[in-house]
Amino acid sequence: MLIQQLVNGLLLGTTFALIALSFNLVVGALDRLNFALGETAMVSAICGALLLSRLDLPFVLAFLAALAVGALVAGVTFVLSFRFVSADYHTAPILSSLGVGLVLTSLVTRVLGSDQRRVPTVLDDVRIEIGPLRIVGDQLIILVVAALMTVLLYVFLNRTPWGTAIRGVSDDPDMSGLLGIPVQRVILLTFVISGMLAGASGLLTGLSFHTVSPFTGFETTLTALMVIVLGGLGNITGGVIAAMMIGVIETLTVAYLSATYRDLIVFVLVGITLLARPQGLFTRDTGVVGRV
Amino acid sequence: MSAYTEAVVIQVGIAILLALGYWITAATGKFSFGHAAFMAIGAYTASILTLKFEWSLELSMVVSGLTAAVAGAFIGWIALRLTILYLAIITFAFAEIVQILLDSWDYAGGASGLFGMRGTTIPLVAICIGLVIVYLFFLTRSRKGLSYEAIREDEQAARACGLGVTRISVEAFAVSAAITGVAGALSAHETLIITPAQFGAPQSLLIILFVVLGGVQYFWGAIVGAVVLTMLPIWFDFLEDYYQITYGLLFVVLMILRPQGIIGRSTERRFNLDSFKRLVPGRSGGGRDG
Repeated sequence: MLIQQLVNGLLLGTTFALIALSFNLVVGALDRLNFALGETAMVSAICGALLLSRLDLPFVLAFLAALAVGALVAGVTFVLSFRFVSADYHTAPILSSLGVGLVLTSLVTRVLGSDQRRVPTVLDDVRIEIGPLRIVGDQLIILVVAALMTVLLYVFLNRTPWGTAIRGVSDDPDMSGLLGIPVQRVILLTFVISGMLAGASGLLTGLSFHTVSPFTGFETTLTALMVIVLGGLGNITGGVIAAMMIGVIETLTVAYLSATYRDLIVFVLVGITLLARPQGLFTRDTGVVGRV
Repeated sequence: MSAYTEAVVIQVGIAILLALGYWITAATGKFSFGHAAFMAIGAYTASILTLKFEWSLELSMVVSGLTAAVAGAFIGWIALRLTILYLAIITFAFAEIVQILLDSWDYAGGASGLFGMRGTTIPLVAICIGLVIVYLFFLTRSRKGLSYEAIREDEQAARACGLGVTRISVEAFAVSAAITGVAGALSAHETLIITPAQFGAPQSLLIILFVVLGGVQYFWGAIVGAVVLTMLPIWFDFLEDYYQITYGLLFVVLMILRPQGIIGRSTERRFNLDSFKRLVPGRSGGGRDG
Protein backbone atom coordinates (compact mmCIF):
# COMPACT_ATOMS: atom_id res chain seq x y z
CA MET A 1 0.00 0.00 0.00
CA LEU A 2 2.76 2.43 0.96
CA ILE A 3 4.70 1.54 -2.17
CA GLN A 4 1.63 2.18 -4.30
CA GLN A 5 1.20 5.59 -2.66
CA LEU A 6 4.86 6.39 -3.24
CA VAL A 7 4.51 5.57 -6.92
CA ASN A 8 1.35 7.67 -7.16
CA GLY A 9 3.22 10.50 -5.51
CA LEU A 10 6.10 10.27 -7.95
CA LEU A 11 3.64 10.31 -10.83
CA LEU A 12 1.98 13.43 -9.43
CA GLY A 13 5.49 14.82 -9.06
CA THR A 14 6.22 14.43 -12.76
CA THR A 15 3.41 16.85 -13.65
CA PHE A 16 4.71 19.28 -11.01
CA ALA A 17 8.17 18.87 -12.50
CA LEU A 18 6.95 20.04 -15.91
CA ILE A 19 5.32 23.20 -14.57
CA ALA A 20 8.33 23.87 -12.33
CA LEU A 21 10.65 23.51 -15.34
CA SER A 22 8.44 25.98 -17.11
CA PHE A 23 8.79 28.56 -14.29
CA ASN A 24 12.51 27.91 -13.93
CA LEU A 25 13.21 28.47 -17.63
CA VAL A 26 11.69 31.95 -17.47
CA VAL A 27 13.38 32.90 -14.23
CA GLY A 28 16.67 31.80 -15.73
CA ALA A 29 16.24 33.83 -18.89
CA LEU A 30 14.87 37.01 -17.40
CA ASP A 31 15.35 36.93 -13.60
CA ARG A 32 11.60 37.46 -13.45
CA LEU A 33 8.75 35.06 -12.82
CA ASN A 34 5.78 34.75 -15.12
CA PHE A 35 2.89 34.52 -12.66
CA ALA A 36 0.42 33.76 -15.45
CA LEU A 37 1.90 30.32 -16.18
CA GLY A 38 -0.59 28.55 -13.89
CA GLU A 39 -3.43 30.10 -15.85
CA THR A 40 -1.61 29.24 -19.08
CA ALA A 41 -1.61 25.59 -17.98
CA MET A 42 -5.30 25.85 -17.15
CA VAL A 43 -6.24 27.34 -20.54
CA SER A 44 -4.30 24.60 -22.38
CA ALA A 45 -5.84 21.90 -20.22
CA ILE A 46 -9.39 23.18 -20.85
CA CYS A 47 -8.77 23.38 -24.60
CA GLY A 48 -7.26 19.89 -24.61
CA ALA A 49 -10.14 18.50 -22.56
CA LEU A 50 -12.70 20.04 -24.90
CA LEU A 51 -10.93 18.58 -27.96
CA LEU A 52 -10.80 15.15 -26.31
CA SER A 53 -14.36 14.97 -25.04
CA ARG A 54 -16.27 17.02 -27.64
CA LEU A 55 -14.43 16.26 -30.87
CA ASP A 56 -13.11 12.81 -29.87
CA LEU A 57 -9.69 13.75 -31.19
CA PRO A 58 -6.90 11.26 -30.53
CA PHE A 59 -4.86 12.10 -27.46
CA VAL A 60 -1.74 12.94 -29.46
CA LEU A 61 -3.52 15.67 -31.42
CA ALA A 62 -5.21 17.13 -28.34
CA PHE A 63 -1.86 17.12 -26.57
CA LEU A 64 -0.16 18.94 -29.46
CA ALA A 65 -3.02 21.45 -29.47
CA ALA A 66 -2.52 22.01 -25.73
CA LEU A 67 1.18 22.66 -26.38
CA ALA A 68 0.31 25.14 -29.13
CA VAL A 69 -2.19 26.97 -26.93
CA GLY A 70 0.32 27.12 -24.09
CA ALA A 71 3.01 28.48 -26.41
CA LEU A 72 0.65 31.11 -27.81
CA VAL A 73 -0.57 32.28 -24.40
CA ALA A 74 2.95 32.47 -22.99
CA GLY A 75 4.14 34.40 -26.05
CA VAL A 76 1.32 36.91 -25.62
CA THR A 77 2.13 37.18 -21.90
CA PHE A 78 5.72 37.99 -22.77
CA VAL A 79 4.67 40.79 -25.08
CA LEU A 80 2.11 42.22 -22.63
CA SER A 81 3.89 41.84 -19.31
CA PHE A 82 7.61 41.77 -19.97
CA ARG A 83 8.66 43.11 -23.37
CA PHE A 84 7.47 46.68 -22.92
CA VAL A 85 7.54 46.92 -19.15
CA SER A 86 10.31 49.06 -17.75
CA ALA A 87 13.01 47.06 -16.01
CA ASP A 88 13.37 49.78 -13.36
CA TYR A 89 10.22 48.64 -11.60
CA HIS A 90 10.79 45.23 -10.10
CA THR A 91 7.19 44.63 -9.17
CA ALA A 92 5.84 45.69 -12.54
CA PRO A 93 6.19 42.34 -14.37
CA ILE A 94 4.82 40.48 -11.34
CA LEU A 95 1.72 42.66 -11.19
CA SER A 96 1.30 42.69 -14.94
CA SER A 97 1.51 38.91 -15.30
CA LEU A 98 -0.89 38.48 -12.38
CA GLY A 99 -3.21 40.79 -14.29
CA VAL A 100 -2.86 38.61 -17.38
CA GLY A 101 -3.73 35.62 -15.19
CA LEU A 102 -6.90 37.33 -13.97
CA VAL A 103 -7.87 38.15 -17.56
CA LEU A 104 -7.22 34.55 -18.71
CA THR A 105 -9.37 33.05 -15.95
CA SER A 106 -12.27 35.40 -16.59
CA LEU A 107 -12.00 35.03 -20.36
CA VAL A 108 -12.16 31.24 -20.09
CA THR A 109 -15.15 31.33 -17.75
CA ARG A 110 -16.90 33.88 -20.01
CA VAL A 111 -16.22 32.18 -23.33
CA LEU A 112 -16.14 28.49 -22.43
CA GLY A 113 -18.20 28.52 -19.25
CA SER A 114 -17.20 27.91 -15.66
CA ASP A 115 -18.05 24.18 -15.61
CA GLN A 116 -15.50 21.55 -14.82
CA ARG A 117 -14.42 19.70 -17.94
CA ARG A 118 -14.09 15.95 -18.11
CA VAL A 119 -10.89 14.43 -19.48
CA PRO A 120 -11.74 10.96 -20.80
CA THR A 121 -9.50 7.97 -20.12
CA VAL A 122 -7.06 7.42 -22.97
CA LEU A 123 -5.58 3.97 -22.50
CA ASP A 124 -8.45 2.01 -21.01
CA ASP A 125 -7.26 -1.58 -21.08
CA VAL A 126 -3.55 -1.18 -20.40
CA ARG A 127 -2.45 -2.04 -16.90
CA ILE A 128 0.90 -3.01 -15.51
CA GLU A 129 1.12 -5.03 -12.33
CA ILE A 130 4.41 -5.63 -10.57
CA GLY A 131 3.69 -7.57 -7.42
CA PRO A 132 1.31 -5.43 -5.37
CA LEU A 133 2.08 -2.42 -7.53
CA ARG A 134 -0.47 -1.32 -10.12
CA ILE A 135 0.01 1.32 -12.79
CA VAL A 136 -2.90 2.10 -15.10
CA GLY A 137 -2.60 3.22 -18.72
CA ASP A 138 -3.13 6.93 -18.11
CA GLN A 139 -0.46 7.01 -15.43
CA LEU A 140 1.86 5.35 -17.94
CA ILE A 141 1.11 8.07 -20.48
CA ILE A 142 1.83 10.78 -17.91
CA LEU A 143 5.11 9.15 -16.95
CA VAL A 144 6.28 8.59 -20.53
CA VAL A 145 5.25 12.01 -21.84
CA ALA A 146 6.70 13.89 -18.88
CA ALA A 147 9.97 11.98 -19.09
CA LEU A 148 10.11 12.49 -22.85
CA MET A 149 9.54 16.22 -22.55
CA THR A 150 12.18 16.58 -19.85
CA VAL A 151 14.73 14.68 -21.93
CA LEU A 152 13.85 16.68 -25.05
CA LEU A 153 14.30 19.87 -23.09
CA TYR A 154 17.70 18.75 -21.84
CA VAL A 155 18.79 17.82 -25.35
CA PHE A 156 17.43 21.08 -26.73
CA LEU A 157 19.17 23.20 -24.11
CA ASN A 158 22.50 21.39 -24.31
CA ARG A 159 22.84 20.24 -27.92
CA THR A 160 21.26 22.86 -30.19
CA PRO A 161 22.37 26.40 -31.07
CA TRP A 162 19.08 27.94 -29.85
CA GLY A 163 19.35 26.00 -26.61
CA THR A 164 22.89 27.26 -26.15
CA ALA A 165 21.62 30.77 -26.82
CA ILE A 166 19.01 30.36 -24.07
CA ARG A 167 21.67 29.24 -21.62
CA GLY A 168 23.90 32.07 -22.71
CA VAL A 169 21.19 34.69 -22.21
CA SER A 170 20.29 33.32 -18.80
CA ASP A 171 23.95 33.43 -17.85
CA ASP A 172 24.76 36.93 -19.05
CA PRO A 173 22.33 38.76 -21.32
CA ASP A 174 24.58 41.74 -22.01
CA MET A 175 27.52 39.59 -23.05
CA SER A 176 25.27 37.39 -25.19
CA GLY A 177 23.91 40.50 -26.86
CA LEU A 178 27.40 41.75 -27.61
CA LEU A 179 28.21 38.38 -29.17
CA GLY A 180 25.36 38.86 -31.60
CA ILE A 181 22.66 36.75 -30.01
CA PRO A 182 19.20 38.27 -30.60
CA VAL A 183 18.43 38.48 -26.89
CA GLN A 184 14.77 39.51 -27.11
CA ARG A 185 14.01 36.73 -29.60
CA VAL A 186 15.76 34.19 -27.39
CA ILE A 187 13.71 35.35 -24.41
CA LEU A 188 10.53 35.08 -26.48
CA LEU A 189 11.57 31.56 -27.43
CA THR A 190 12.13 30.76 -23.76
CA PHE A 191 8.63 31.98 -22.95
CA VAL A 192 7.15 29.90 -25.76
CA ILE A 193 8.92 26.76 -24.55
CA SER A 194 7.87 27.45 -20.98
CA GLY A 195 4.30 27.86 -22.21
CA MET A 196 4.48 24.50 -23.96
CA LEU A 197 5.73 22.85 -20.78
CA ALA A 198 2.95 24.52 -18.80
CA GLY A 199 0.39 23.36 -21.35
CA ALA A 200 1.69 19.78 -21.19
CA SER A 201 1.61 19.87 -17.42
CA GLY A 202 -1.95 21.20 -17.44
CA LEU A 203 -3.32 18.52 -19.71
CA LEU A 204 -1.41 15.71 -17.98
CA THR A 205 -2.67 16.86 -14.57
CA GLY A 206 -6.15 16.90 -16.06
CA LEU A 207 -5.61 13.39 -17.34
CA SER A 208 -4.53 12.13 -13.94
CA PHE A 209 -7.61 13.56 -12.18
CA HIS A 210 -9.91 13.13 -15.24
CA THR A 211 -11.25 16.60 -14.69
CA VAL A 212 -10.19 20.19 -15.33
CA SER A 213 -11.58 23.28 -13.67
CA PRO A 214 -11.10 26.86 -14.92
CA PHE A 215 -10.39 28.07 -11.39
CA THR A 216 -7.22 26.08 -10.74
CA GLY A 217 -4.84 28.49 -12.47
CA PHE A 218 -3.63 30.33 -9.41
CA GLU A 219 -3.41 27.12 -7.37
CA THR A 220 -1.11 25.65 -10.02
CA THR A 221 1.06 28.77 -9.88
CA LEU A 222 1.32 28.44 -6.10
CA THR A 223 2.31 24.77 -6.24
CA ALA A 224 4.91 25.51 -8.88
CA LEU A 225 6.27 28.36 -6.77
CA MET A 226 6.62 26.03 -3.78
CA VAL A 227 8.47 23.53 -5.96
CA ILE A 228 10.93 26.03 -7.39
CA VAL A 229 11.60 27.63 -4.01
CA LEU A 230 12.33 24.21 -2.53
CA GLY A 231 14.49 23.19 -5.47
CA GLY A 232 16.25 26.51 -5.76
CA LEU A 233 15.18 29.30 -8.09
CA GLY A 234 16.48 28.70 -11.60
CA ASN A 235 17.92 25.30 -10.71
CA ILE A 236 16.39 22.91 -13.24
CA THR A 237 17.59 19.62 -11.71
CA GLY A 238 16.73 20.80 -8.20
CA GLY A 239 13.26 21.70 -9.44
CA VAL A 240 12.66 18.19 -10.78
CA ILE A 241 13.78 16.57 -7.50
CA ALA A 242 11.71 19.00 -5.42
CA ALA A 243 8.69 18.33 -7.61
CA MET A 244 8.97 14.59 -6.91
CA MET A 245 9.35 15.30 -3.19
CA ILE A 246 6.29 17.52 -3.06
CA GLY A 247 4.30 15.03 -5.13
CA VAL A 248 5.14 12.24 -2.67
CA ILE A 249 4.50 14.42 0.39
CA GLU A 250 1.12 15.58 -0.91
CA THR A 251 0.02 12.06 -1.85
CA LEU A 252 1.10 10.61 1.50
CA THR A 253 -0.64 13.44 3.39
CA VAL A 254 -3.87 12.86 1.55
CA ALA A 255 -3.61 9.08 2.02
CA TYR A 256 -2.66 8.97 5.69
CA LEU A 257 -3.68 12.31 7.22
CA SER A 258 -6.29 14.48 5.56
CA ALA A 259 -6.73 16.36 2.29
CA THR A 260 -7.09 19.59 4.30
CA TYR A 261 -3.48 19.54 5.37
CA ARG A 262 -2.09 18.79 1.91
CA ASP A 263 -1.10 22.35 1.00
CA LEU A 264 -0.47 23.35 4.60
CA ILE A 265 2.34 20.84 5.12
CA VAL A 266 4.01 21.85 1.87
CA PHE A 267 3.78 25.57 2.72
CA VAL A 268 5.25 25.04 6.18
CA LEU A 269 8.03 22.91 4.74
CA VAL A 270 8.85 25.62 2.23
CA GLY A 271 8.74 28.27 4.96
CA ILE A 272 11.31 26.34 6.98
CA THR A 273 13.44 25.87 3.88
CA LEU A 274 13.41 29.60 3.22
CA LEU A 275 14.55 30.34 6.75
CA ALA A 276 17.37 27.83 6.69
CA ARG A 277 18.44 27.70 3.05
CA PRO A 278 16.97 30.52 0.97
CA GLN A 279 18.85 29.29 -2.09
CA GLY A 280 16.91 26.00 -2.04
CA LEU A 281 17.67 22.53 -0.83
CA PHE A 282 19.96 21.18 -3.47
CA THR A 283 21.98 23.99 -4.79
CA ARG A 284 25.01 26.03 -4.44
CA ASP A 285 24.06 29.67 -4.68
CA THR A 286 23.43 30.25 -8.39
CA GLY A 287 23.25 33.96 -7.82
CA VAL A 288 19.67 34.11 -9.08
CA VAL A 289 18.44 34.61 -5.51
CA GLY A 290 20.21 37.93 -5.26
CA ARG A 291 19.16 39.14 -8.69
CA VAL A 292 15.43 38.62 -8.68
CA MET B 1 -28.65 60.00 4.26
CA SER B 2 -30.18 56.94 2.68
CA ALA B 3 -29.01 53.49 3.67
CA TYR B 4 -27.61 53.00 0.18
CA THR B 5 -25.47 56.14 0.28
CA GLU B 6 -24.30 55.22 3.75
CA ALA B 7 -23.25 51.74 2.54
CA VAL B 8 -21.36 53.25 -0.39
CA VAL B 9 -19.59 55.79 1.82
CA ILE B 10 -18.55 53.08 4.29
CA GLN B 11 -17.35 50.86 1.45
CA VAL B 12 -15.25 53.68 0.01
CA GLY B 13 -13.94 54.49 3.49
CA ILE B 14 -12.83 50.92 4.11
CA ALA B 15 -11.16 50.84 0.69
CA ILE B 16 -9.27 54.04 1.61
CA LEU B 17 -8.18 52.48 4.89
CA LEU B 18 -6.98 49.35 3.06
CA ALA B 19 -5.11 51.44 0.52
CA LEU B 20 -3.44 53.63 3.17
CA GLY B 21 -2.44 50.54 5.13
CA TYR B 22 -0.94 48.96 2.05
CA TRP B 23 0.77 52.20 1.10
CA ILE B 24 2.97 52.03 4.22
CA THR B 25 4.66 48.82 3.12
CA ALA B 26 4.66 49.86 -0.53
CA ALA B 27 6.41 53.07 0.55
CA THR B 28 9.41 50.96 1.53
CA GLY B 29 9.25 49.26 -1.86
CA LYS B 30 8.12 45.96 -0.33
CA PHE B 31 5.03 44.68 -2.06
CA SER B 32 2.89 42.15 -0.23
CA PHE B 33 0.71 39.89 -2.35
CA GLY B 34 -1.33 38.50 0.50
CA HIS B 35 -2.66 41.49 2.36
CA ALA B 36 -6.14 40.00 2.27
CA ALA B 37 -4.82 37.55 4.87
CA PHE B 38 -4.26 40.38 7.35
CA MET B 39 -7.74 41.61 6.53
CA ALA B 40 -9.03 38.12 7.30
CA ILE B 41 -7.10 37.97 10.57
CA GLY B 42 -8.52 41.33 11.64
CA ALA B 43 -12.04 40.45 10.50
CA TYR B 44 -12.10 37.10 12.29
CA THR B 45 -10.48 38.39 15.50
CA ALA B 46 -12.95 41.24 15.80
CA SER B 47 -15.96 39.13 14.82
CA ILE B 48 -15.15 36.41 17.35
CA LEU B 49 -14.66 39.02 20.06
CA THR B 50 -17.92 40.85 19.34
CA LEU B 51 -20.02 37.75 18.64
CA LYS B 52 -18.74 35.21 21.17
CA PHE B 53 -17.39 37.45 23.91
CA GLU B 54 -19.69 40.42 23.34
CA TRP B 55 -16.91 42.96 23.41
CA SER B 56 -17.52 46.41 21.98
CA LEU B 57 -16.53 46.91 18.36
CA GLU B 58 -13.99 49.65 19.17
CA LEU B 59 -12.05 47.46 21.60
CA SER B 60 -12.20 44.48 19.23
CA MET B 61 -10.77 46.65 16.47
CA VAL B 62 -7.77 47.50 18.62
CA VAL B 63 -7.18 43.82 19.38
CA SER B 64 -7.63 42.82 15.74
CA GLY B 65 -5.10 45.46 14.72
CA LEU B 66 -2.61 44.08 17.23
CA THR B 67 -3.17 40.48 16.10
CA ALA B 68 -2.65 41.43 12.47
CA ALA B 69 0.47 43.38 13.42
CA VAL B 70 1.97 40.33 15.15
CA ALA B 71 1.22 38.17 12.12
CA GLY B 72 2.67 40.87 9.85
CA ALA B 73 5.85 41.15 11.89
CA PHE B 74 6.30 37.37 11.76
CA ILE B 75 5.81 37.13 8.00
CA GLY B 76 7.93 40.21 7.45
CA TRP B 77 10.70 38.72 9.56
CA ILE B 78 10.74 35.60 7.37
CA ALA B 79 10.35 37.31 4.03
CA LEU B 80 11.81 40.78 4.10
CA ARG B 81 15.42 39.67 4.31
CA LEU B 82 15.03 38.14 0.86
CA THR B 83 14.24 39.80 -2.44
CA ILE B 84 10.89 41.03 -3.71
CA LEU B 85 10.21 37.79 -5.58
CA TYR B 86 10.52 35.72 -2.41
CA LEU B 87 8.36 38.22 -0.57
CA ALA B 88 5.75 37.70 -3.27
CA ILE B 89 5.94 33.91 -2.98
CA ILE B 90 5.82 33.90 0.83
CA THR B 91 2.93 36.33 1.08
CA PHE B 92 0.99 34.34 -1.54
CA ALA B 93 1.56 31.16 0.45
CA PHE B 94 0.76 32.89 3.74
CA ALA B 95 -2.60 34.09 2.41
CA GLU B 96 -3.34 30.57 1.25
CA ILE B 97 -2.39 29.10 4.66
CA VAL B 98 -4.67 31.57 6.46
CA GLN B 99 -7.53 30.57 4.17
CA ILE B 100 -6.94 26.85 4.72
CA LEU B 101 -6.75 27.28 8.50
CA LEU B 102 -9.93 29.38 8.63
CA ASP B 103 -11.67 26.86 6.38
CA SER B 104 -10.98 24.04 8.82
CA TRP B 105 -11.53 26.04 12.01
CA ASP B 106 -14.94 24.88 13.25
CA TYR B 107 -15.13 27.39 16.13
CA ALA B 108 -15.13 30.21 13.56
CA GLY B 109 -17.73 28.52 11.38
CA GLY B 110 -15.37 26.76 8.97
CA ALA B 111 -16.01 27.41 5.30
CA SER B 112 -19.41 29.00 5.96
CA GLY B 113 -17.82 31.66 8.15
CA LEU B 114 -19.35 33.93 10.76
CA PHE B 115 -22.63 35.77 10.56
CA GLY B 116 -24.40 38.63 12.30
CA MET B 117 -21.72 41.25 12.94
CA ARG B 118 -22.93 44.86 12.79
CA GLY B 119 -21.96 48.22 14.13
CA THR B 120 -19.70 49.89 11.54
CA THR B 121 -20.74 53.53 11.24
CA ILE B 122 -19.51 56.38 9.08
CA PRO B 123 -18.02 58.30 12.04
CA LEU B 124 -16.11 55.21 13.18
CA VAL B 125 -14.61 54.71 9.69
CA ALA B 126 -13.90 58.43 9.40
CA ILE B 127 -12.08 58.48 12.75
CA CYS B 128 -9.90 55.54 11.69
CA ILE B 129 -9.04 57.18 8.37
CA GLY B 130 -8.37 60.46 10.18
CA LEU B 131 -5.98 58.80 12.63
CA VAL B 132 -4.12 57.02 9.84
CA ILE B 133 -3.83 60.20 7.76
CA VAL B 134 -2.48 62.14 10.75
CA TYR B 135 0.03 59.33 11.33
CA LEU B 136 1.05 59.32 7.67
CA PHE B 137 1.25 63.13 7.60
CA PHE B 138 3.83 63.12 10.37
CA LEU B 139 5.50 59.94 9.12
CA THR B 140 6.18 61.33 5.67
CA ARG B 141 7.75 64.44 7.22
CA SER B 142 9.95 62.55 9.65
CA ARG B 143 13.33 60.88 9.39
CA LYS B 144 11.56 57.55 9.34
CA GLY B 145 9.51 58.61 6.33
CA LEU B 146 12.70 59.64 4.58
CA SER B 147 14.27 56.28 5.39
CA TYR B 148 11.23 54.53 3.84
CA GLU B 149 11.77 56.56 0.70
CA ALA B 150 15.47 55.80 0.70
CA ILE B 151 14.84 52.07 0.97
CA ARG B 152 12.26 52.22 -1.80
CA GLU B 153 14.44 54.11 -4.21
CA ASP B 154 17.70 52.22 -3.60
CA GLU B 155 17.98 49.56 -0.96
CA GLN B 156 21.71 49.06 -1.41
CA ALA B 157 22.42 52.75 -0.98
CA ALA B 158 20.12 52.93 2.05
CA ARG B 159 21.97 50.04 3.66
CA ALA B 160 25.30 51.66 2.87
CA CYS B 161 24.08 54.81 4.64
CA GLY B 162 23.66 52.77 7.78
CA LEU B 163 19.91 52.25 7.75
CA GLY B 164 18.69 49.00 9.34
CA VAL B 165 16.78 48.11 6.20
CA THR B 166 15.31 44.85 7.46
CA ARG B 167 14.20 46.28 10.83
CA ILE B 168 12.61 49.32 9.23
CA SER B 169 10.86 47.23 6.56
CA VAL B 170 9.53 44.73 9.10
CA GLU B 171 8.21 47.58 11.25
CA ALA B 172 6.50 49.18 8.24
CA PHE B 173 5.08 45.80 7.27
CA ALA B 174 3.65 45.25 10.77
CA VAL B 175 2.05 48.71 10.91
CA SER B 176 0.64 48.12 7.46
CA ALA B 177 -0.78 44.75 8.55
CA ALA B 178 -2.31 46.37 11.64
CA ILE B 179 -4.19 49.00 9.63
CA THR B 180 -5.30 46.33 7.17
CA GLY B 181 -6.54 44.24 10.11
CA VAL B 182 -8.58 47.14 11.46
CA ALA B 183 -10.03 47.69 7.99
CA GLY B 184 -10.92 44.00 7.90
CA ALA B 185 -12.70 44.30 11.24
CA LEU B 186 -14.68 47.30 10.00
CA SER B 187 -15.54 45.55 6.76
CA ALA B 188 -16.75 42.42 8.62
CA HIS B 189 -19.08 44.52 10.78
CA GLU B 190 -20.46 46.21 7.68
CA THR B 191 -21.08 43.20 5.43
CA LEU B 192 -22.67 41.12 8.25
CA ILE B 193 -21.06 37.92 7.03
CA ILE B 194 -17.47 36.79 6.54
CA THR B 195 -16.22 33.62 4.90
CA PRO B 196 -12.63 32.53 4.27
CA ALA B 197 -13.28 32.67 0.52
CA GLN B 198 -13.74 36.46 0.66
CA PHE B 199 -10.10 36.92 1.56
CA GLY B 200 -8.51 35.20 -1.42
CA ALA B 201 -6.04 36.33 -4.04
CA PRO B 202 -8.52 38.63 -5.89
CA GLN B 203 -8.99 40.73 -2.73
CA SER B 204 -5.22 40.97 -2.25
CA LEU B 205 -4.77 42.06 -5.85
CA LEU B 206 -7.51 44.65 -5.51
CA ILE B 207 -5.71 46.23 -2.54
CA ILE B 208 -2.48 46.31 -4.55
CA LEU B 209 -4.28 47.87 -7.49
CA PHE B 210 -5.61 50.69 -5.25
CA VAL B 211 -2.07 51.70 -4.41
CA VAL B 212 -0.42 50.96 -7.75
CA LEU B 213 -3.04 52.95 -9.64
CA GLY B 214 -2.55 55.95 -7.39
CA GLY B 215 1.21 55.60 -7.16
CA VAL B 216 3.44 54.99 -4.17
CA GLN B 217 5.15 58.36 -3.99
CA TYR B 218 2.45 60.19 -2.05
CA PHE B 219 0.02 58.54 0.31
CA TRP B 220 -2.89 60.50 -1.04
CA GLY B 221 -2.27 58.73 -4.36
CA ALA B 222 -3.46 55.59 -2.60
CA ILE B 223 -6.63 57.41 -1.53
CA VAL B 224 -7.32 58.45 -5.12
CA GLY B 225 -6.78 54.87 -6.32
CA ALA B 226 -9.11 53.45 -3.68
CA VAL B 227 -11.90 55.94 -4.39
CA VAL B 228 -11.68 55.55 -8.16
CA LEU B 229 -11.60 51.74 -8.12
CA THR B 230 -14.43 51.46 -5.60
CA MET B 231 -16.66 53.93 -7.41
CA LEU B 232 -16.00 52.55 -10.94
CA PRO B 233 -18.23 49.44 -10.59
CA ILE B 234 -20.87 51.56 -8.82
CA TRP B 235 -20.93 54.24 -11.51
CA PHE B 236 -20.70 51.86 -14.42
CA ASP B 237 -23.06 48.97 -13.80
CA PHE B 238 -21.97 47.16 -16.92
CA LEU B 239 -18.52 46.70 -15.41
CA GLU B 240 -20.06 44.29 -12.90
CA ASP B 241 -19.66 41.30 -15.21
CA TYR B 242 -16.31 42.34 -16.54
CA TYR B 243 -14.64 43.76 -13.48
CA GLN B 244 -12.02 41.02 -13.26
CA ILE B 245 -11.07 41.50 -16.90
CA THR B 246 -11.06 45.27 -16.39
CA TYR B 247 -8.80 45.06 -13.34
CA GLY B 248 -6.50 42.59 -15.07
CA LEU B 249 -6.16 44.80 -18.13
CA LEU B 250 -5.71 47.85 -15.90
CA PHE B 251 -2.68 46.16 -14.35
CA VAL B 252 -1.23 45.35 -17.78
CA VAL B 253 -1.78 48.78 -19.32
CA LEU B 254 -0.65 50.63 -16.19
CA MET B 255 2.59 48.67 -15.93
CA ILE B 256 3.50 49.49 -19.52
CA LEU B 257 2.50 53.14 -19.58
CA ARG B 258 2.85 54.41 -16.02
CA PRO B 259 4.43 51.88 -13.66
CA GLN B 260 4.86 54.65 -11.09
CA GLY B 261 1.08 55.20 -10.89
CA ILE B 262 -1.17 58.03 -12.03
CA ILE B 263 0.09 60.39 -9.36
CA GLY B 264 3.80 60.67 -8.90
CA ARG B 265 6.83 61.97 -10.65
CA SER B 266 9.05 59.81 -12.68
CA THR B 267 12.59 60.22 -13.82
CA GLU B 268 11.30 59.17 -17.19
CA ARG B 269 8.88 61.10 -19.32
CA ARG B 270 5.21 61.35 -18.45
CA PHE B 271 4.16 58.29 -20.36
CA ASN B 272 6.70 55.57 -20.80
CA LEU B 273 6.68 55.15 -24.55
CA ASP B 274 10.40 54.60 -24.88
CA SER B 275 10.02 50.87 -24.93
CA PHE B 276 7.91 51.03 -28.06
CA LYS B 277 10.60 52.93 -29.93
CA ARG B 278 12.78 49.86 -29.77
CA LEU B 279 10.32 48.31 -32.18
CA VAL B 280 11.62 50.61 -34.88
CA PRO B 281 14.21 48.71 -36.92
CA GLY B 282 17.73 49.96 -36.60
CA ARG B 283 17.34 51.05 -33.03
CA SER B 284 16.68 47.61 -31.64
CA GLY B 285 19.96 46.31 -30.37
CA GLY B 286 20.73 42.93 -28.99
CA GLY B 287 20.80 44.12 -25.40
CA ARG B 288 17.89 43.65 -23.09
CA ASP B 289 15.53 46.34 -21.82
CA GLY B 290 16.75 48.84 -19.30
